[in-house]
Amino acid sequence: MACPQRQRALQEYLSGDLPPVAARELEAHLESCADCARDLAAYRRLMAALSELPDAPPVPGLHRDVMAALRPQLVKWRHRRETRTQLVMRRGLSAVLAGAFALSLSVALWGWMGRIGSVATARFSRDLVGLWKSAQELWQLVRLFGDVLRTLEPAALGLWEALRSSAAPLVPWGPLILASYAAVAVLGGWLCWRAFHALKEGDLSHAS
Amino acid sequence: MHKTSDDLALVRLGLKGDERAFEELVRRYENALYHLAWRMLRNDEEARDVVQEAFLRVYRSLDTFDQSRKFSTWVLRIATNLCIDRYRRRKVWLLSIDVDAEDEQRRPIVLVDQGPDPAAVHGKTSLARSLDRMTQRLPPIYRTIIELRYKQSLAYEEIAEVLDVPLGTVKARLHRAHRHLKDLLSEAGIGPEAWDA
Ligand SMILES: [Zn+2]
Repeated sequence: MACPQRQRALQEYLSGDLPPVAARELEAHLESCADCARDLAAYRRLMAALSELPDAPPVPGLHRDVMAALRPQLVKWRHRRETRTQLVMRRGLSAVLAGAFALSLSVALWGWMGRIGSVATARFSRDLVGLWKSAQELWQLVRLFGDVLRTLEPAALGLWEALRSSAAPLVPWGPLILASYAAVAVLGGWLCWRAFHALKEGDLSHAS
Repeated sequence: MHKTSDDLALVRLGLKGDERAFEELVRRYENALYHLAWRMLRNDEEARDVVQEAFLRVYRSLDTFDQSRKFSTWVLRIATNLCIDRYRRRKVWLLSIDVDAEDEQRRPIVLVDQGPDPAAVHGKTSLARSLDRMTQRLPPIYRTIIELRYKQSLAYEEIAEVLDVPLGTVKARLHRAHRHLKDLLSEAGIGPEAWDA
C-alpha cells in the first residue's frame, strides 16, 4: 500500500462520493501508481462480495419464543397502558355490580326488620338504623368487590392470554367482550328490578 | 423493509393497547434484529435475548417514540445499543468502541471466534465466506455498520439515525471497515491477487 492517504478517496471514488475535480486528480494518479490501481480493484471486489455476505443461520421458532417471553410482560403493563374508556368501563362495571348487590341486600334487610316489630318500629328502624346499616353494607360491598376484582383479574387475564394465543385468529374477541359487558349489565338490571319489587312487597305487607 | 406509514399505523394501534398490532411489529422486525444481534454477538442464545429485550423496551417506551421518524431505525437503534452493552460486558473486549478514539492507522484486534461457521452451509462465493469470517474479527462497531449497510440495505442517513452519529461518521466508519477487511484478506493470503483464481 504505497498511498495510505488515498485509501478513503479510492472508496469515495467507487461510491461516487468524490467531487469531480478530485476524481479527475485520482484518475490521473491511478495511471502512474500500480499500488493504488490494485487497491481500487480490491475495494471494488470487496464491496461486491460484501453484498453477498452469508445470512445468519435460520432461526426456527423465533417468533414463538419472542412472543412467549413478551406476553407476561405485556399483561403486566397493560393496565398502565389502559385507555380512559377502558378504565371507566372496568371501574363502572365493579360499581354497578356492587351497587346492585348492596341494593338487594339492604332491601332484604329492610323487609326482615319490618316483619319482626310493629309497623311503627319497623318504620323507625327503616328510617334510621336501616338507613345507616344500608350505607355501611353498601360501603363494605363496594370495597369487597374491588378486592375480588383485583384478585381475579390477573388469573382472568392469564386465561385470556392463553385463549387468545391459541385461538386468536378464530375468535371475534371484540364482540365477545362487548357481549360479556352486556351480560353483566343485564344481570345488574335484573338484580335492581328484583330489589325494587322486594321493596314494594315489603311496603304492602306493612300496610296490611 | 416495510412502508413507514404501515409501521406508524401499527404503532398507533399498539399505543391504544392493540397487542395484535404490536405482535405484527414484532413479526416484521424480529428477523432483522436477530441478524443484527447475531452479526455482532455470534451467539444464538444471546441474539434471541437481545431480540426479546429490544421488543420489551420498544413496548415500554412506545409512547415516547417520535412518530415523525422511522420505526425501523428506532427499533434497530435499541437493538444496537443492547448489543453494544452486551459486548462491553464480555471480557474479551479489548478495543474501545469510543468513536473519538478511532484513528485511520489502528489495526483491528483479533477477537475470540464464537460458535461454528454458519456460512459453510450456505452456497455463497468463497470470497463472501472468507469475508464473513473476517467480519467476526472486526470491532463490533464496524460489524454493525457492515450488517446495516450490506445485509439490511440501509441508506447512510438511516444508519446515521440508528447509530445516532453524524452522516460523516457513518461514511468514515464504513471506509475504515472496508480498509480493515481489505487488509485482513491480504494478510490471510486471500487478497486481490488470489481473487481472480
Ligand atoms: Zn498511489
